[in-house]
Amino acid sequence: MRLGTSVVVGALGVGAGALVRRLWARGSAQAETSRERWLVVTVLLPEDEVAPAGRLPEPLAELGDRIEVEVRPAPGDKGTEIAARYRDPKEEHAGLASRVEGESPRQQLRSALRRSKQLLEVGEVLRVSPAPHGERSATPGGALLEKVTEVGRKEGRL
Amino acid sequence: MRALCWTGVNKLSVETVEDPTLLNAEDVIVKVTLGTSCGSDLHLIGGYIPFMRSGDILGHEFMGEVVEVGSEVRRHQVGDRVVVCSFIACGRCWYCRQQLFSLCDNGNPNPAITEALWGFAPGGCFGYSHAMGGHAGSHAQYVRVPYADHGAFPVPDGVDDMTALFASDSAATGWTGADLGEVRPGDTVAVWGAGGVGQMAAAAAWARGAERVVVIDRLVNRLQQAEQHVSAETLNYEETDIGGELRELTGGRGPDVCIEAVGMEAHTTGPMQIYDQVKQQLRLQTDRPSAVREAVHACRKGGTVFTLGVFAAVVDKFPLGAVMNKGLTLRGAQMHGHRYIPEILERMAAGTLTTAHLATHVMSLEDAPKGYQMFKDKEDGCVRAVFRPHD
Repeated sequence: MRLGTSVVVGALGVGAGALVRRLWARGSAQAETSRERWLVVTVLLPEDEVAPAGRLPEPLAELGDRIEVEVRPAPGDKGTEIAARYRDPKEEHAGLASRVEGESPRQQLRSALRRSKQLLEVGEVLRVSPAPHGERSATPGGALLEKVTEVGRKEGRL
Repeated sequence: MRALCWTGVNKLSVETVEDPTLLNAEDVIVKVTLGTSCGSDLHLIGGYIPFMRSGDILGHEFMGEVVEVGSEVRRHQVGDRVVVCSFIACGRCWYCRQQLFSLCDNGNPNPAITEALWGFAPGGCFGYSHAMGGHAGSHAQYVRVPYADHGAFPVPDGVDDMTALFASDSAATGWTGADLGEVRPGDTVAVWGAGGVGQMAAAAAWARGAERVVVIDRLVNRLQQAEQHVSAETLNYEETDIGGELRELTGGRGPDVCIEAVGMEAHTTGPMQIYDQVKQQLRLQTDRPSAVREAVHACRKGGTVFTLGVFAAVVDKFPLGAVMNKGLTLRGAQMHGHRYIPEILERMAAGTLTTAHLATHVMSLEDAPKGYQMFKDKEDGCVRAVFRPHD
């Protein structure tokens, strides 16, 4: 048990370290540019099917004029790149609280891009919940994992 | 329904849970006929991959009968006998089109964890933690199968359930290692690990034209299986110097392709076993890579080392100098089962691939916690504990 626990903590530590490095790098970049990077997904479809007559997929269209979007062919027959960011840089710098709640504008944009890609490539967004499961005991680790999975599509390196 | 749930580190229980439902139009519900333990489950059970929540249903290698079909499913109907690929892939993203199905962009609804850990997220997997999508596992009476037209395969008449079961993951993983390891006719292939995946990697090496296949382990019954059912030569690393044996067997060259089918809880002899366990306990590495180290040293100059066993994060004392200076190709992958299962089922139907011998212990799902303990402890020669959820 002791070995298992220490390994758990170790692996979580590795993950947390990667996350901290990423946030640190992001913080440094922000200081230099004052803007977040474009968020970009690549969809395996030709450009005219990704945004026919300039119409964006629904999840992105819902964000309206708040975002600027670039649609361009990907090299090597990899499809079409959709890049998006908020027009107003203030929208990009939401507080930690809204991020924890999964309601920050950047999280919304990341989720919209991921869902748009799935709608275009597959036709629907893959769901995983509600999934059958046994009794959930209340533990700090479980609560943390639940929070992480709640924002699973809204966070990440996209 | 009844299901095997992970309830904490090294704790399992069979519980009554909700039945799965169709969530997407391309889903089917499969009534699970057979499911098997897999060595990679032990990493989850032991807490080595710490992204399980208590109550999560385990299991990813299974076959059964389609009992419910989503509105957009075209290739399956109720009553079909199917084997299901353990990885969940959409079949339409760029990675799937390259036949790299376990890298699917759309199979993991929760990509944030693995993007933070590994840079990009692979596809989803049944019952393999929230890092791999949080999909409910197959050690249950019923399981929901997303993207069923792509991931569920009809079992040919004449292939019995117990044989077909291992097409789901073990055989497909073995085929991944031999194929992406680029085994060529005339090659000598060494496989570390004589469990289900290692034996299937050896079988796949023969299928690709290998001239000599050597399987390495310490468990005598597994080595005997590799000899008897896969026609491999075997080496027991507790009884001989593996590097020396392999050099002698290969005219001093070393194997052309070395496939590691052990993973993050590898054992070895000598001080490195203690070193790796201490480092793991001190949280200075997450995985014990002793078999990979040995494979890198043993491989011939310019050869290929393929990591087929599951690793989670970081390892120590990795012989990168040997990789570089010997000009090795180092490759790894989760299994691209969608690519290989049709060929595997054909071979099973033709009688040229034997798998049912892996099922050394068959029992009711109610006995699954005991089955996993036997599997972990290698008790009574357990190679795979197979569960019947409806017994």
